[in-house]
Amino acid sequence: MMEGTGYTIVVNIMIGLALAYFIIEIMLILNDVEDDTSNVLLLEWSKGKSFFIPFALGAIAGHLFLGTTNAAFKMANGIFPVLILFGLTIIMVIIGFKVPFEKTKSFLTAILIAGLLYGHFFWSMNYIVSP
Amino acid sequence: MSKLKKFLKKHLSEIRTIKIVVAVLLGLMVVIDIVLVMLEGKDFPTFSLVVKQLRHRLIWFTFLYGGLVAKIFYNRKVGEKEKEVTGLLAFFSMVFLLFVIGRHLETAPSLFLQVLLLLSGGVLAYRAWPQYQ
Repeated sequence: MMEGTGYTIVVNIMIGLALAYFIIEIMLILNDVEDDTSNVLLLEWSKGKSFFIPFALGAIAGHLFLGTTNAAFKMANGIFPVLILFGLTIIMVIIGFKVPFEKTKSFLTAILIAGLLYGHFFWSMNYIVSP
Repeated sequence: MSKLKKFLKKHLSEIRTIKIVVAVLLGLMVVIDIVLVMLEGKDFPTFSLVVKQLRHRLIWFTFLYGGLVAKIFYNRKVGEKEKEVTGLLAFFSMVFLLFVIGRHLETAPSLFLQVLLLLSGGVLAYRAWPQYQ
């Protein structure tokens, strides 16, 4: 395992962000505005112009928790999967703004699963490169 | 408590402000990770690397992530709060249980187990953690 001050700092940043999220969420529950917690907002955005959100969340899940070990999917440069992800996101944002269409539950599910598969196959951290 | 309520009423009662706050927080995570990617090789790991190396201890996070995603896209709305509040307790007891189990694991969980954790987190959140209205 990697140790050192850098590592500790990053772990602390992660804990800090999680705490900030938690505190904001509790404040949103306690204030008297209806339907304003982040999950409701994220669904609202996903159903609106930002239907890339389920794709991004799926890709992050696939990247963090899954990940194929098959090196055949590995790209030449580790930054490519991220760039492609950004590219796809931008395309989806453009489509979202230009083409209004109804985002049904099954559509969002399909996008979520597509993201998960992208994260698993093309943005894996587990490639084992055989010598 | 009333002081907090007053503060919230003053600063966090407009849906526009709330949206900006939530969006900024989410954006901040992405920006920090991009900075970390650029710092790579200088002893700073990225968020992903931290999660990867601690996967066995973070099985509760896998479960929670599945739950949170289910909470966003498959939210179930109920009217009566009292009847269902135990479900939320059950969900977070499960998270805590996984946290305790994770502390004793030493090897990374298998792919199958991770998928199972994501799915069961989602299903349990759907069943046990509805939106109260």
